[in-house]
Amino acid sequence: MHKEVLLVEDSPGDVRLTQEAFRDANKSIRLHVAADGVEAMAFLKREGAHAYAPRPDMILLDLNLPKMDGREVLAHIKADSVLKTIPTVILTTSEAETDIVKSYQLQANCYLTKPVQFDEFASLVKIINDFWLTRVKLPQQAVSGQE
Amino acid sequence: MILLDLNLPKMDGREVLAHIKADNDLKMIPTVILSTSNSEADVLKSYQLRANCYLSKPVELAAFENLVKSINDFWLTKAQLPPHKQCEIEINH
Repeated sequence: MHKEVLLVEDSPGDVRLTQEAFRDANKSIRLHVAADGVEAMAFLKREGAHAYAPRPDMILLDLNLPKMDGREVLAHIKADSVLKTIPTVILTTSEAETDIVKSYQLQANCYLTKPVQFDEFASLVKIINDFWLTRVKLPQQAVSGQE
Repeated sequence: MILLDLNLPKMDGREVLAHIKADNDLKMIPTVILSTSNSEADVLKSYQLRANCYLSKPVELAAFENLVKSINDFWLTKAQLPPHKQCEIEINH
């Protein structure tokens, strides 16, 4: 079964690496890309060009993004009764404790540091696939925001 | 991190989870549900209560050991967990 993943990442190089690594790890992943925070929110809220966007099974979110920063995107997702159940994993180069603490405070489901080396990056994507997209029970799609 | 079963005596896991995630000092601790329940309602409810992730507990010992290994490999090896001194760090949103 296909899994929809939204990658929010502004670096074209990192987007390509992630696409290649997912292609190697799991062909049934549909990776959607938003290049900034505003586009990510438009995708999630199905606005404008994203009117037919699927609800992602999980979100991979960079912290440092143009237009609307990843912390703000995270806060919006987790304050939205419909979106908040989507597992949102922070994937950033930052190892700063303040970023880690802040992300967990904003209810990130998990925080991962992006390795610089391609091999390590590919191995991290494989681990994300093996753990989050294979092991973990994700909430079912198309649910309403009822508590 | 916390590994939390759902069906518990005295106070049930959903209530424990709600308490953890409503507490300013505790809410940052990644809380992973580990339950035999495969029910979509339990999965959804856990994410609504801000569980960090939901895993279903396999019945077979080998599969269970394998799952524990994957929790170790992911959460305790790859993931960045909040530092122990987290409570002392004050961040204004």
